[in-house]
Amino acid sequence: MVYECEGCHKRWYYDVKKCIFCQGNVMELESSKSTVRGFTRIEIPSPGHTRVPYCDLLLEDEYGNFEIRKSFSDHELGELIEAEPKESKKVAKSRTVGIIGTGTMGSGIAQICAQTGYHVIMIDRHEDIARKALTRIDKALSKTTKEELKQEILGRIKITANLYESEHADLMIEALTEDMELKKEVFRELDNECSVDTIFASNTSSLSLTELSQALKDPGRLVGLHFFNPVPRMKLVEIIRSKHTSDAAVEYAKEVAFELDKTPVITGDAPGFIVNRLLLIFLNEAMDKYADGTSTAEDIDKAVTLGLNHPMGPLALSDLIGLDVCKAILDVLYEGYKDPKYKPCKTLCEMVEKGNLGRKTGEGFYKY
Amino acid sequence: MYVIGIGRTKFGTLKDTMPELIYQAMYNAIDDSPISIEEIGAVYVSNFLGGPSEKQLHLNSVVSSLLPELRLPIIRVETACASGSSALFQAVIALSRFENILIVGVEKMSNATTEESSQNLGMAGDRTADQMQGLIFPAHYALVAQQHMQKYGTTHEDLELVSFKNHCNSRLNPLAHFSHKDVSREMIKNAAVIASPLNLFDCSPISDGAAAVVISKNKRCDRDVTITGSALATDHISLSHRKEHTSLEAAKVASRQAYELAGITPEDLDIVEVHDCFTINELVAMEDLGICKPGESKDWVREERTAIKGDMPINTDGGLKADGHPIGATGLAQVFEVATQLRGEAGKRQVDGAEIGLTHNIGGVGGTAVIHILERRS
Repeated sequence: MVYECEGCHKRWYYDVKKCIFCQGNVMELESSKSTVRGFTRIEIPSPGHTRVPYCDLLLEDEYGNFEIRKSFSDHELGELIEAEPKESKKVAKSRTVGIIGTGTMGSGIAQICAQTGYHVIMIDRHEDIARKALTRIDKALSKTTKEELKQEILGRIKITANLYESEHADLMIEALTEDMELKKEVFRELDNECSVDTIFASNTSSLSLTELSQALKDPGRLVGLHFFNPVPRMKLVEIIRSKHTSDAAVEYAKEVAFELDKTPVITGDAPGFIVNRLLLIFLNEAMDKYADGTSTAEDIDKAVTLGLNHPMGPLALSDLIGLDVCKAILDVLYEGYKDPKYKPCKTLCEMVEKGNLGRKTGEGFYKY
Repeated sequence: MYVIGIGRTKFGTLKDTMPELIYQAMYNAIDDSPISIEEIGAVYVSNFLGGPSEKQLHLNSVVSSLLPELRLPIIRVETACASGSSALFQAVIALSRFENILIVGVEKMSNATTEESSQNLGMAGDRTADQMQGLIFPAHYALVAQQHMQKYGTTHEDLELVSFKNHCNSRLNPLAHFSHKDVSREMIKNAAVIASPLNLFDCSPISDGAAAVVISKNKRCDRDVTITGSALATDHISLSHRKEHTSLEAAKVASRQAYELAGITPEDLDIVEVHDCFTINELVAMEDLGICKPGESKDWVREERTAIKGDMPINTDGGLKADGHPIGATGLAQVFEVATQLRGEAGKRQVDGAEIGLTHNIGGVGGTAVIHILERRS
């Protein structure tokens, strides 16, 4: 952004407010379009810019001011480019995203969508629960964002209890609890409310997407969009293609993932997708190893953090996830693949039975 | 004002720690000078990335630890890649108070990963306008190169000539980062692209190293070299905050001032050390310094006029490209080379009869420019 003194017309690239030369007021010069004057294509990644190649454009606006702008698409010299929406970081397109379910995942997804510049509709049957989610987002943003920008971001989030307000959404993301019947019912309703172009996505981590898509008249419009907790920090998104998912829906999901500054991976609709299938068998094995009594929980976790360079050991992670949740996912995997390697180990079953579920009950493999 | 002592370490990926590098350079400079360390009145230490790369700041006190019991006034100077010359610029001014001053520059870069270094070096650009847009440093100069090519018809082959010449020169400099590396035109031409149009051989390496200079109010011996010009100018930090993208205004301003102080014109120069952090900047420097007209630098390199045997030898030590670019030490290494040449002590790379030399040291993409002119007339 460029700022100019009303008195002596000196220019700044920072919001300095008062001119140090003539004490005049310094106002923003709002440009509407720019011309590409130069570009470079960058082939090596650096922290914060891991997806390569990308271009940096040298743009000149109608006042003769220049700026550098990152772009993932190629541009020609002399090409005209519309000004970036002022408040957003990097939106390729203006999108409206509806999010159903306002728990930890739902509010995390809503937060990053609003930060990216999307218009967000947060839907919960109880409006006061959605309001609480908004307060959580407000709190999370306060730690990292200036007040003015935070208000802009929050201003893009609309709260409602009415599904019909999603009629203009380009993308609907469902982030409800893992209940097939509940999800199906919601998608049936959405199918009636939304436009025929809306893409439907589910954040499910364990249910069959193919089965879920039967709730839609056109099952090709449903794609899996599996985010990881905490959503603003975790870089990965699993994009799941059901038996019916259309190529267009997968491409759309990829585009959104990149715009949200996430890295997408594509996988088919099988229990656990990639991450949970690998993780749970690993956690289960760690618990079984613990059960043989030859290593302490601390030593198993230390071995994994130092030997495999994981940020956290498997037993501490199981306690964090919740042992009941671990068992539930293993049950789904076991049922899905019918392979004994996914069977929850004896120790896990006993601990869940005793009610030692990890951090949330104060005791799991560790005491809290 | 005189340069009475110079010293440096080898440049490259070195085992030595930052304090060890500082010490070696200081030791060599004092050893080279006619004075003892006790005669030094103050020290300036230049360094860019000790904080982010080495988690070591408060460098002036680190230097004090290396000079036990002296308790001298010591100050660290940081102006990104121009830190070394900026420290010298400060020291020259401080000669009004101190008889002899030691300037030492250092950088320890090889402990960081390439990606960390890329991010750290990016700190020389504007946080919002450049860094957030992913404008890593090669990309800053890639834009300059792209603009220069568009405006003047400079080609990548011209940049390859600069790279090749500097690599050839470094083979004659035993302290250079690439003193032992044979580089062919083919290798340069076919190297991986970093930020188009620049490839790996357009970029200076990530080097460790230190260099030191002792200056004095008074001439001590025949080997002393006179500082006749010292100037520093600044500009907007981001290239995008400026209107001109094929030259660095700060370098033009600082060189004009330095020529005026020295009472010389560019035609009087016998040897020049320029800041070729990226090959394109050697061409831009030649034009900014008035060695040739804007757009004509490509003709000079095509005619090999900037080679050691040419009529305007540039970067006889290999330049930042091949001697290495340990940031905080770079400006002082340039002074080291010019002084060595003016003394006639450059061995195989000696430029015959060199009497007047210039150093051109740039911070960022021209946010800082420091020029020094050194003379030793027979």
